[in-house]
Amino acid sequence: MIKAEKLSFAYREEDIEHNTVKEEIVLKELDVTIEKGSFTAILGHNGSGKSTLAKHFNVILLPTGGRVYVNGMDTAVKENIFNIRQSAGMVFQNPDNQMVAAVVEDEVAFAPENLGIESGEIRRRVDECLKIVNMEKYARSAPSRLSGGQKQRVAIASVLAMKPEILILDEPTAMLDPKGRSEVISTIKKLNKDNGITVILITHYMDEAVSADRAVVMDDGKIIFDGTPKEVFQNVEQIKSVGLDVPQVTELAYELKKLGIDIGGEILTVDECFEALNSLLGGGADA
Amino acid sequence: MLKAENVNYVYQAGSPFEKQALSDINIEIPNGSITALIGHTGSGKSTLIQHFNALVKPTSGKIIIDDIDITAPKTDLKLIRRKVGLVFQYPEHQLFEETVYKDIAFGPVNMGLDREETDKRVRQSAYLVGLKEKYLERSPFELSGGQKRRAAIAGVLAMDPDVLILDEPTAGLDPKGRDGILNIIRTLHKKKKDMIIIFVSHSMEDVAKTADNVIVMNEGHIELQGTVPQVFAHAERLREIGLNVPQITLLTDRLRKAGCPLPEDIYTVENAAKAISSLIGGGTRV
Repeated sequence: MIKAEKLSFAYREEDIEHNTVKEEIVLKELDVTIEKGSFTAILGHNGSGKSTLAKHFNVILLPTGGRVYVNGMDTAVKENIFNIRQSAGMVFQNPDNQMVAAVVEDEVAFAPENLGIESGEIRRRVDECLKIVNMEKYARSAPSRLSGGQKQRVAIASVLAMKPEILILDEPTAMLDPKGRSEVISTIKKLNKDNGITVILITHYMDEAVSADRAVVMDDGKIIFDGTPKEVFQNVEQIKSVGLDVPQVTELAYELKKLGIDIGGEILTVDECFEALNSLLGGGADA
Repeated sequence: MLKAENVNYVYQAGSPFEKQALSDINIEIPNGSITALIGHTGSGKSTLIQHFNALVKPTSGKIIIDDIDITAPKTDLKLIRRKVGLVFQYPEHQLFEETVYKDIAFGPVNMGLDREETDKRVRQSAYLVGLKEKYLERSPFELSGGQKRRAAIAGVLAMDPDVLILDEPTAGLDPKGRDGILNIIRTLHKKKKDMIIIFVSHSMEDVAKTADNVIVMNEGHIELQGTVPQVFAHAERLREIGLNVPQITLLTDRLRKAGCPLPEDIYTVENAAKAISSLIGGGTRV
């Protein structure tokens, strides 16, 4: 479980005498709790503070105000850092920036080796984690020969090898093509459902947020919406006004409502929209 | 007019890695049009656009721009590269100058233009991409991701090309940044009446919003080409070849199959809402 209490963060530039010369406030007294085993999507346009928030969850950044607790451990306490980073793993946007090894299985073994785990256990973890992300066939391949989606799944496996409870993904699909995106998203869903890993997905793709249990929308360093994707995406105008999209069919239902046609709220998928419209149009259609 | 005639391209011919990247490509793109090039990764999109400014020469076939055969052995490559501006993927990675101004001026200066003309082009290009004057004296590395990309596009525009090609210009941007870039494309289309604009995209929603014509690539050949409505009418096929078909297209396709007499040319939320409400008719305006 992750808990942020009145979390504030500002980037500060200081002169030699440690006087603040420039300050940019990025997070403003945020309160948020992420439950164990949940799948949360954090949405926001560039500069809304979503990545900054995520970086507090595994102590890449420390709050300038308030506190963050990961499994009850205060991130500001130096002795906790090692344990927090082991329980909350992070995957970044560009897979090329996080690959260190020349062979896929070495890449996945990197973290457990650094944790001083004995070699038999490392072997087991590497095989298991590559299997979870469906990359076991590529164990002996060079990461540089993989597609973007495959690289990102290897990056996820490398984090899983530390056996984290929480997986934080910072726009993991932003640089991928549609096929790579769906590979990564279905891997993430599986990890949450089958392996019980708490997932925090930072994204600006609405269709990815639809698969989460909870959608948190950020703007200007604050949380402006928090609820199930169905609840959150009903706020079509507000979400568009902060530079985000809603699914096309949600927008269609909203536009129809403005034209006086109510097909019911909470429509996120093509299936739902089709059912609603088909029953409404049923009379007029010469099927 | 940009023409490709029976273009074939084979990578590493004669080696064990030989691969036919393009097969029998025939295209005609008229002046003053926006054409979108779509297809999944590895379909040959990038290879094709590299042919358009002679970065790659076809194994067989011709590329003709305004009656100049750019694939002929003695073509003036300098001229071609001025005529055809190519904006690569993540073009902001290529910014290198001390200031945004100098970066945009790099092309014109290398073309040997005088200071006055260079200055005019820099300011005009910055204006076209919506980059405010105050950013010109900043380091490109102080700009946001979206602004950097605009600066990089301005650098190509400053060479005043007749053909502008953008390889995935919206990749990695958030919805706001994406709409900003698509707006630039539409603005350019309006202001530079004869310019041929070609952009590569994975997003059929962006294509529907922006392009006049669409070329769909699959495994090195042209799968479909035509106007946006003509191409989008093949929703099933587009999905089969690994493209993300917009929700609206999938929905209207299904409704039509279920017997709803919806018109064929719906591919934006706005059009769909109008068509459905006129079909229902009984809906009262509020």
